[in-house]
Amino acid sequence: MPNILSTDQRNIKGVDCNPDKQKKIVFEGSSLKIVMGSQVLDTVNMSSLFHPASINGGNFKKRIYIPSEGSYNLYGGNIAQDQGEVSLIVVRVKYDKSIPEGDRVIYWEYKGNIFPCKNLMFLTGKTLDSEPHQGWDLEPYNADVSPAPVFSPALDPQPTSVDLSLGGIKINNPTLKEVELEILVMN
Amino acid sequence: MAKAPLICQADLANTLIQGGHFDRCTFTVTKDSSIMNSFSFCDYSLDIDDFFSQSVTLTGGRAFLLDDAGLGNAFGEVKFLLISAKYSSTFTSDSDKYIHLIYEGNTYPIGSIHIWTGQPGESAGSGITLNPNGTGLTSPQFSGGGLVLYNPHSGSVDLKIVVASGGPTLSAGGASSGTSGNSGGTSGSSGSSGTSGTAGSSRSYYGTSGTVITLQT
Repeated sequence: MPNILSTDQRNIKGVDCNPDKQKKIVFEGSSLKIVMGSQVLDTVNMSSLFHPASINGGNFKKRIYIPSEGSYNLYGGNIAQDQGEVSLIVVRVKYDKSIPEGDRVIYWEYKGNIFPCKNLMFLTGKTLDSEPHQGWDLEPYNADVSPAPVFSPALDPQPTSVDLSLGGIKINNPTLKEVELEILVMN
Repeated sequence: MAKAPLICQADLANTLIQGGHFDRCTFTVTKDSSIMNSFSFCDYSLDIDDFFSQSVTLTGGRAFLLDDAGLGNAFGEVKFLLISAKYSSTFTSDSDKYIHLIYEGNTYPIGSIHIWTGQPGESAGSGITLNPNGTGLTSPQFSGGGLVLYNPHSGSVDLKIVVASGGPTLSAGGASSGTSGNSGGTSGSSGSSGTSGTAGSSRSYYGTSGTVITLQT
């Protein structure tokens, strides 16, 4: 009699491999939807969303590749307002198929805090042209910036080089393969 | 499909309006009628286990404590977080259309929409930590998670919030969710084991500005 290995049913009572039972978040029409098979379980309507750009702002989109264990510094460039803030950042992440699902996560660092990113981040805020407001700061502090930013309380010691804890987003890829990022920045 | 608003102010009459909106499943940046850029979500997909969705109206000066709603893994981490904000007609200046997201002691802006994703796993840190740390809940600046949405304006803001679980080690919605491990013996008081995490009694918290803010109930 062949030796047949079988799964202990007690261990799979919470597992349902039927694709029709897998819940997914997708974009359909102008909505973000949570679907299960053909069922729509919830909808977030995006059709009324309008994100205005600053009069002096702009936008850029880029596709980048971060090698395994590598990192990428995202800056606002010349579309940011005077202090480096932008009003919208979107990042999509695509992984090599050989990376196990559970390992598909990268990390982004912003002002000293680290956040995970599975496959999407969508950040928005509001900027003003000549003063810091409620945007995302993509201008890393540099002592050569003139006029130098004033910190209160004063930083001690004063930073003399680029310090990502004061702005900019650093994206780290801890996976074993290169990842592809599609990035849209707008201000 | 959203369109650029009509601007009738004399000083802006000749200004081309640049902005982004969803044209079906593509986020499109236009200037006047020209497409400047586009970003497709048409092939986007994220597998999740369970989810929680809630609409909240934040009146002026009010705050909302968002926790894992019982969906978190053993570390209180979830896989997906969406916050969509719509501003009442009392907001006349576009630059005022923001709220604050207070997370792990820091304040971040949200304009119209905010999406974070993570991958809850067998160790902490790869998911989005939404389980408030500690039992006292005396401050929204939880070092171990929890998230406060704060409306610093006088006008009201309508929020749509979606939290979703996922990951290989989750027991979504189970008894192990949320407060175990972090809060010790009085886990029920954190509010994370209920349906919304905000349905408890009204408590006062101290925002980063030092101003007392009160949870929406």
